[in-house]
Amino acid sequence: MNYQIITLDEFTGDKATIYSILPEGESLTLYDKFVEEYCTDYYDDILSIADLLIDMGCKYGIRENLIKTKEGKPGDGVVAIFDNPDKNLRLYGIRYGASILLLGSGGVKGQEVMAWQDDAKLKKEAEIVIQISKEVSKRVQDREINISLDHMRLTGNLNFLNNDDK
Amino acid sequence: MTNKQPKRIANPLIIKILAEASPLRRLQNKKRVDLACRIDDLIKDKGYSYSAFAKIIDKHPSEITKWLSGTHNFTFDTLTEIAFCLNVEVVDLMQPQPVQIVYRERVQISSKVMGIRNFHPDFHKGNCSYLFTDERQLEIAVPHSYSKNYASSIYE
Repeated sequence: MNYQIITLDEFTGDKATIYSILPEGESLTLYDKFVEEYCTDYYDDILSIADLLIDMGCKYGIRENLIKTKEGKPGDGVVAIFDNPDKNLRLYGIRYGASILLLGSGGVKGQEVMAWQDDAKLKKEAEIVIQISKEVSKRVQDREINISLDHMRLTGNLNFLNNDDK
Repeated sequence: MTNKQPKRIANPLIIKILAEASPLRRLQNKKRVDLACRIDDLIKDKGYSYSAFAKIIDKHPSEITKWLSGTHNFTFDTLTEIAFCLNVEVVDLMQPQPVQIVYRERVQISSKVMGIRNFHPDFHKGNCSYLFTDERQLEIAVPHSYSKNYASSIYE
């Protein structure tokens, strides 16, 4: 997938920068699409997640107690954000320290679903985020992407527009 | 290397959801997060892991995780139980954590420094120039004599 990493200004504040993924040729980020897909049936959950993102951006940073860590492969930083552990909506993202969060998309985790691997939609969305985490990590290793001195921003080449050519 | 990002216009749907939501509902969301973070701070201040605290309060660790997720609607009895186990007053759970500032020539850093703020106004007249913020938002003052780069290299 070709994409760019862009800042979500409505959530970014003094404590954290919130990013999402903008696929090439599209006008909505993965987070925007997630909101559009679920805002009718899960309005309260979407609102709670948005308020939580504002709190993380402006007040608390990406604190571990507010998210579900270790959702992806070991060490890849993939996390899940939820309205309530008892409820079903899951939003996947990647956490870089306490001040950077990169949001992907998510889905509904039904009561019968024990893990995202058991549900086709969740599996698809989680695997996209895991793949993005791998690609960003590679660029961090290659020093093409850096984390700013204040640990608040990703800097460098945030355009992944040649992936499909490889 | 380029750092140019396409300018994104905030999704009108998200703006609409936030604008049209009940202010009370949004305040409730915020207060739940505040309370969860305050309890989390107090648990860490006491030196407990979640599983250790779960044993003390006689709950399953997953219950503690749920409490601290910022979405739990606590009963007063639960808050009293938490305050009792943390040896604080219930009202202490509602107050924001005071910012701790350490005035020392030498400081022992045991947690990873997350950021640097230059020349905090409170320190301009004093002996310290730089404020470091660690993972738990503890602010640490560092003397003038430390250059920013030197200080950050020490702590990173």
